[in-house]
Amino acid sequence: MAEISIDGVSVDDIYKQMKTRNVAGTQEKLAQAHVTIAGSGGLGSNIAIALARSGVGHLTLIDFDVVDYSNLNRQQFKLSQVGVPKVIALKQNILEFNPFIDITTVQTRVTYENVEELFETSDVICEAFDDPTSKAVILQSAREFFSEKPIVMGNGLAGIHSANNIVTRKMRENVYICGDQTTAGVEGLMAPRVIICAGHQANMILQLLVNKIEI
Amino acid sequence: MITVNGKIDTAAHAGQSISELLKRLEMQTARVVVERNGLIIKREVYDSLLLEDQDDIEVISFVGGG
Repeated sequence: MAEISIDGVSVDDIYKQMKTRNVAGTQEKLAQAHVTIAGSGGLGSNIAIALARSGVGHLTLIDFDVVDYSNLNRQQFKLSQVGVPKVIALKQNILEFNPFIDITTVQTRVTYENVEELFETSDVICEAFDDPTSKAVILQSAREFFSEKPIVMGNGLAGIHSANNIVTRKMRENVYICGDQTTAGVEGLMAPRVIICAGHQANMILQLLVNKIEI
Repeated sequence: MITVNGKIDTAAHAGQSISELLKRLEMQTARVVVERNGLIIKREVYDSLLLEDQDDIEVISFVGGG
């Protein structure tokens, strides 16, 4: 088969060059890994992009919602994507910088009833909801169905408080919660602290996937 | 003696339900996950499950934002 190239650069070469600045020795493991992200909003869109850039090979994106103007202050979408399902828009955006990734999209609400089916094949469960009730539901049900599967959550990332209050904590075996644990979305959500918390979550997920946990 | 989130809670005593405990702590049931001696408690039993002496209760409470 003829070699496929883009602007004279072979696809193989593009793939290799895209990985050159990632940490050596991680790419094989990450390319095999599967992370399911519940929520494609402020946390989820930033986490998905960070994981895709890091070389995670398989992502499942779950969100019931469509892109709205009020999302654009902190979520990784464009004006042209308003009205588009978030999971579809996020997949499009990721494929623009990394086509070497397998992305499954699921446009649904996560409930106690579908947790088992939605997360069964995932190596790590990533919680990235806005709603605190949904956060509690996913922790409760994930621990019931998959006590051995790591879950990485976000809790408390609102306002413009110190960036240093956002931390990663290991709550229990296989339960990691990132955030300041106190600031609620009603005070307003600003891109920097949302992105910091998303960074904590994505970093914890990478550590789990390459089995190099230092918290 | 009952421990709640790592501290001895002198107002908690054997015979109280998990729902009563959460109400006194002013925590919304829907936004928390409760562990008793390291095991997560199902929500359906918050009203019926009663605290026992020496219980170690952990309430993980979530805030909105994402």
